Amino acid sequence: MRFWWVSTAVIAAVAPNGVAAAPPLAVQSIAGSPGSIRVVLSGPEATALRQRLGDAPGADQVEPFFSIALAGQTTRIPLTARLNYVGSTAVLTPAFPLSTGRPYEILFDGPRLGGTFKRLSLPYSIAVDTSPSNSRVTRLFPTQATLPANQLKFYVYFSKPMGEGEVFKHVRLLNERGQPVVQAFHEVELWSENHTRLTLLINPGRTKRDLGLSETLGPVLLPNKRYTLQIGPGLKDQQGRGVATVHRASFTTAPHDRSQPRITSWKISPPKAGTRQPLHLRFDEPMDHALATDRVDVLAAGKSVPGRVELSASGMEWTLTPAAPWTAGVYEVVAGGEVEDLAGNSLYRAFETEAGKGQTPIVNPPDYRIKFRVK
Amino acid sequence: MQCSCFRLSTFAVASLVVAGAAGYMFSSRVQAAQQGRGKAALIQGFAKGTWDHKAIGPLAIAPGGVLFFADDQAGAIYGVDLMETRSQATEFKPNAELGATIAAKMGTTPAGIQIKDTAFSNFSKSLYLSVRKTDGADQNPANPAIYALFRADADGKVSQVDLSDKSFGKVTISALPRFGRRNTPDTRVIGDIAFARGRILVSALATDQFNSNLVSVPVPFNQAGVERYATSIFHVSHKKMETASPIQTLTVYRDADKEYLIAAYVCTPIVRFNLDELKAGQPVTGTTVAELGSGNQPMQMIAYGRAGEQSLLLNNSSFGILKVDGKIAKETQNVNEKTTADRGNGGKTPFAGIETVENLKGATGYAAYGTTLLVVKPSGSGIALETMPTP
Repeated sequence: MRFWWVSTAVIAAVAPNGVAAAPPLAVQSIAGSPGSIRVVLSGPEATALRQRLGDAPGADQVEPFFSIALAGQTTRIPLTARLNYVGSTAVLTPAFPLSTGRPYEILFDGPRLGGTFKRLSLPYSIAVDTSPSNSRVTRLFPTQATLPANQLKFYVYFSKPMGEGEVFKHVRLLNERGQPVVQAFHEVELWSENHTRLTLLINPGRTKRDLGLSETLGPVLLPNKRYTLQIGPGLKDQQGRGVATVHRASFTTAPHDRSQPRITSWKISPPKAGTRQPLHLRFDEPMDHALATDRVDVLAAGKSVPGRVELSASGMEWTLTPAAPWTAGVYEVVAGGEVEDLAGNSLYRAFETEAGKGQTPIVNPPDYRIKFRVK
Repeated sequence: MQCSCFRLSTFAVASLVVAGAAGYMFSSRVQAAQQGRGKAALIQGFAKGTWDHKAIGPLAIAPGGVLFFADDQAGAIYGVDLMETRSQATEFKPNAELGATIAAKMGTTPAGIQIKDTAFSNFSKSLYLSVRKTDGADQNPANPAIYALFRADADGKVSQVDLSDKSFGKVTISALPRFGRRNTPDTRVIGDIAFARGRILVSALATDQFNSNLVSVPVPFNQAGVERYATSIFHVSHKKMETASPIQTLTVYRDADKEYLIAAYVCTPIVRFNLDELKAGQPVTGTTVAELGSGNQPMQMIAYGRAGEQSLLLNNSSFGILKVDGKIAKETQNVNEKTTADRGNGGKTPFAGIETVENLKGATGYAAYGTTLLVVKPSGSGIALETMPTP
């Protein structure tokens, strides 16, 4: 960890000759950890505190003498903090990042400690960053201009890691009149591990036929209509700053897609041996972006062929550009049974099945394979 | 998830019943044996060490003060020996300043915190709360420094639980795809957990599939013993389709010696699963016992009362908090396509036995303490802990 001194958050003792002594109380910000601070008490006050509390006091023991708390509370309740010693200084570390825009008071209660120590009070705050977030939507899938009326998912990519908890205040599906479609989404925030990809699920209760919401509110999407997915503004990044820009993606709807993709209908264009030509795989219908790029692979002798996978804007052209030239031989395209089209119909099972018909959901659906030869 | 929900481990509820109400006794010798073995059996393999969780989300608690929490940012379940001491408290003191106290200890006001879940320990008579700070300068949801575990004691004291000196264990429930080009695990997001005999039940969510991911984590912890199931259900409102929907919230329901998983789904079937029928990797079809009506998302559910007569409390996004009578939860005849417990017409159709609990309106969390319900509820600009008789 690196530290730097915050010059405004220092109480300095002044010697009789007018020369400032070493500051007994100061705040250090912790680099790379927004809102995290350490409060440093030095001088004879720190020595006396250590003598009084020992080397490893509990938070409850420390709070009466040395603490940081929100200012202005009727009853002062300090932040949970840990005290340790570095050399001759006492270091108080709050357990939580401080909030922006809130006034805090750091307090050293010298008189309670005894002797001639004075009460030291140091205000501290972190200014609110009112600048807009510089994060923006970089990609949104699917990209097609026409989607099935039972479109299931959208993937929204951001340029910076985003916060979590308020997505559905800032995401709208607008109809042709620009009005929000009510209860359009399954309101569970599904972020990628690094919080740059958000998955939006169209409300399944309004997607499946004859299902409750479908009956009372109607489906989210009707065929042959135009809709706009609107992201932001105001969606917060991880510094709490709202995205300033609005991202809109419009599409029209086709009839519902109730049929499964069939791997037997996929077309492979094998590359030539000795080249780094892309392998072209053409699906029989537009496929889900994430699953098609994650769960479709090319194997050589059972091992994944290293390279770069891309899915075309149409969602139908899948390519693998190998890292090394192809060698002659037999290869295999393998797709997990969970790979699905835009409406959630997977290789293994249709999104909706009649009770007792079709495939039952299982944990590990089978893999589907096509062999091809590189010459 | 995550659901900003509150739920109490049903085992804790059941234990509360033991303590709180004469006559509310488990007759089950099996359960008595489970409790008799004490926490030693539950904490096998736990050790002190460096915590590596990214978040503290849904909670469940087992006898003897063993708390389980879901790291709903990293797809892991942690168990922690709270080193509780037994409390003889017979009453739980309401606390109008619950939110203000927790928030101040986290350096903010009640508006700057989210209470993610609650779990009650019958051993210490303490209510545990998983809390996220939402207004810090660092709002990375996977930053463990914005999460904390608090406990509210029966005497009104509120304190943060120091995990650093506690023994703990960890099991991951996320899994890498069988093959493919992605090196990040799926089923990483966790919606809810519940403690049943010998296991933690987990409803997990994938970020690229709309499917069911029910996971069982063995207790004592054993990574190799993690099992996954694909659940399917009969959706009453359309009476002809099955679905692979993910479970939104879950609890464990007890009837004599047997335990059942009760799961609530979007829009809103209530489905019972026989735990004996869960087989690793196998599909399992639940028994739909009620339909709460469309247009809502369930957020939390508890079972409370005497084993065999347990009722359900279910919070959802549209109707507030509903009580589902125990007879409905254990119904065996009028189920699936014959289900009569159906608040159709968007939940507006009345049905005896599925009632809105008006005086719980606005509650965001609740836990049963014998015949007392502990209720976490917004109050003015704060968050209060109130008590009331169980409905």
